[in-house]
Amino acid sequence: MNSDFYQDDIQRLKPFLSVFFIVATLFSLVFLKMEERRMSYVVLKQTREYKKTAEIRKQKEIQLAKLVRPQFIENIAKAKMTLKRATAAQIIHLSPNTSVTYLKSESLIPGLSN
Amino acid sequence: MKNKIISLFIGIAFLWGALALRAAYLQFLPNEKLNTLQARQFQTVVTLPSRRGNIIDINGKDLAMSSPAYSIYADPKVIVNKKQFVKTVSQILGEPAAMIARKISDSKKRFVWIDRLVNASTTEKLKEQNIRGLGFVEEWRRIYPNDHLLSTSLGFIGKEGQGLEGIELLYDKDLKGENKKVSLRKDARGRPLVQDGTVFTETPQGKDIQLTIDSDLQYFVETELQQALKNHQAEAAYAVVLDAKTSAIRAIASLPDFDLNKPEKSNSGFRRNKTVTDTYEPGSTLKTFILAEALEKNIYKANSKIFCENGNFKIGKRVIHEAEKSHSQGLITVSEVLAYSSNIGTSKIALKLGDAALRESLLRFGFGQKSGLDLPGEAKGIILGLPWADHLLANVSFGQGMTASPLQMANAYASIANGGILNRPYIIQSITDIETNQKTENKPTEIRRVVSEETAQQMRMMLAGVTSGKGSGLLARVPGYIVGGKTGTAQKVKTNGRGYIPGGYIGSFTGFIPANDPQYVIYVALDHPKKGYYGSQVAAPLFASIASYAVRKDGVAPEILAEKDLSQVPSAQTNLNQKQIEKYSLDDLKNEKQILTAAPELKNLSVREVLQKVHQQDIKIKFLGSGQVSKTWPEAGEALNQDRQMKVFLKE
Repeated sequence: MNSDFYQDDIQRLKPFLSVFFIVATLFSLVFLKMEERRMSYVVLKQTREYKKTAEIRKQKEIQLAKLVRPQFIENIAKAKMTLKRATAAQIIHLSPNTSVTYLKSESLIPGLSN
Repeated sequence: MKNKIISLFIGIAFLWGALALRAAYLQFLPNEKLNTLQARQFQTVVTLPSRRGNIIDINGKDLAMSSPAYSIYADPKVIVNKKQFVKTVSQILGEPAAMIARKISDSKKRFVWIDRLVNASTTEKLKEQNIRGLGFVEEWRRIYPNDHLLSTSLGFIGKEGQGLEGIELLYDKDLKGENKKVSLRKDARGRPLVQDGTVFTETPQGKDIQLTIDSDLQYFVETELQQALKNHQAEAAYAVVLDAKTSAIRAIASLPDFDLNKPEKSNSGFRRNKTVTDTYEPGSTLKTFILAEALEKNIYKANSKIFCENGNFKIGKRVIHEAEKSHSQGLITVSEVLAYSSNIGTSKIALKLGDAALRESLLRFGFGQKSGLDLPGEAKGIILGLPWADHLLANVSFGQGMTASPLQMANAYASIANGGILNRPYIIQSITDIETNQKTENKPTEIRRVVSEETAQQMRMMLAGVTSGKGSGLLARVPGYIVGGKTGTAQKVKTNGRGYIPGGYIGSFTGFIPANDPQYVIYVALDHPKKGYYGSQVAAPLFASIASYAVRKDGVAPEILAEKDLSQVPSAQTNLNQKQIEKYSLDDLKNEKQILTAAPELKNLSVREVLQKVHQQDIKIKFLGSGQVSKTWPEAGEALNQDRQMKVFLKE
């Protein structure tokens, strides 16, 4: 008795279900289309952000290249640190048998008691 | 009624059917016109400009780079309020309003450039204003972070991004790369609908070029040349530094030069790399190759004697003189002919060689022809065809009556320095394709053997003699290293008419360091100096300063031999070989030294002063602390131990 009742209900609902599925599919398609459009705007925005960041990075690279150029370093050394260019007279040639050790702590010198 | 309804239904169904068929026809059957219309409506083509490749030095330091920039254009026809347009744009760009107003004055025009290669931040400000009729084209701007450095070799590019000079011109195709065109769907407002972000982020790139140049050395060379130019009031200065073994160019300069970031403001004559494009009579630096040929052909030996006619040598109706009366010589060896730069001695050698052999040898050393260098505008130089009259033969032997470029001269010396092989000079180390990561290395290329290894070694020793004793190149010496080289003082030929410019000289020095195992070949010249003009006066000290920097920068160990006054070393004037010479000088030095047996007085001296005092004393010295010497062990005057150790205590 019950099964016959449900059978009838399903039979009656079938046209509505068909229409529902068609409408739902159409809505889904439209929704997906809208979502795709929205996503592409996000991607476009992101690529613009990326490009902006890349531009900033490029600017930084140029700044770095300008900072490490020999002319700039020499100017800083001369103007701010009052350094001068090395001259030949400053170079000391040690003979092959002369050795120099430079230590900061006394404990590093063996036999300091001497 | 029912029939009417059926008829209406059929009619409507037919109409719908026809509509559906038409729609299917339009949708599914190919139609070029409709496809074009659709593409125009929904598709957009975005051009991604290729980033011009970087140029870097041998250590990876940037010499030329590209920065994103925008070129701004206007469509005068669609500008609504021209007054407002001019005001806003001129304010942001910082350009005169009148100039912008003039550009957009013709309303019939649909495209005018407002400004080219504007930086990104300024462009952003303009974009924010959302001005109707204003458009932006994405481009790349070339930046040369070192301004003047290597300017005549690097060259520069034009507003359209095309190479105009130097490496930028010669390697334009590699550096430029290819623009990428991307076809995308667009929305109603014309915005591209992007599914794949990498379409925009993966910028097309040109190839990166690495040079053989060491930018630190290049800077040093340029500043030294600038200083010499000023000190000697010269018109121009040239320098070439080559790797002695491979002929790779480590530095190349032609001054005056120009600011690469403002090439349009410079004199066009300064943009040429004259070390490559210009040739002139080299003067005495050419004598080296005449003597090398004579040794190679076994016509003379290094110690063969030549009578130098006491300064006056008659060839036909002409008389050959030495450069100075005081340079007049009698009977001297071939080595001394080179060391004293005797015109008469070299002329006699050349006459014995003959014109054909001399010409052939000069061609073999690379004169009178292009070397195949990877820089544009290389000059060949002039070597006249045969036959040569005796006086021309004599003139050529001391560097007149033929021309050579500084690079040719340096490269010919490199063949002597490296054991007799002429290599192709090159400035490009490698070219890297950034997109595929493929690197093409430029390898040293041997052109030909020009002299035997023995002749080359003998010539190196003879050239070392030029910077010793009474040699003409004493000022080229570098303490701690043996230097070989030759001075040259060439008269400048008149550009209009025959003969030479009165008082016009090019003083040069070409040499290598260290002479016992050459690492660098260096050519320096000052063009038309007003204060002094001999190569030995103006160019030799310049050579010394550049050579000293180059070897120390490279960590080339100094030789004890050079500490000795080379005038007492037998040098090239005997048949001793190099090892014997080194032994002689080392022993000689040891004998001369006064070895201390007691500790020296070092109190209150700085570390530098202590080292200056003990550097020849074979003492093993240990410093402790910093500042000046407070005490020593052993104390001053006390005997040094057998192991000759000293401890020096420093105090601030």
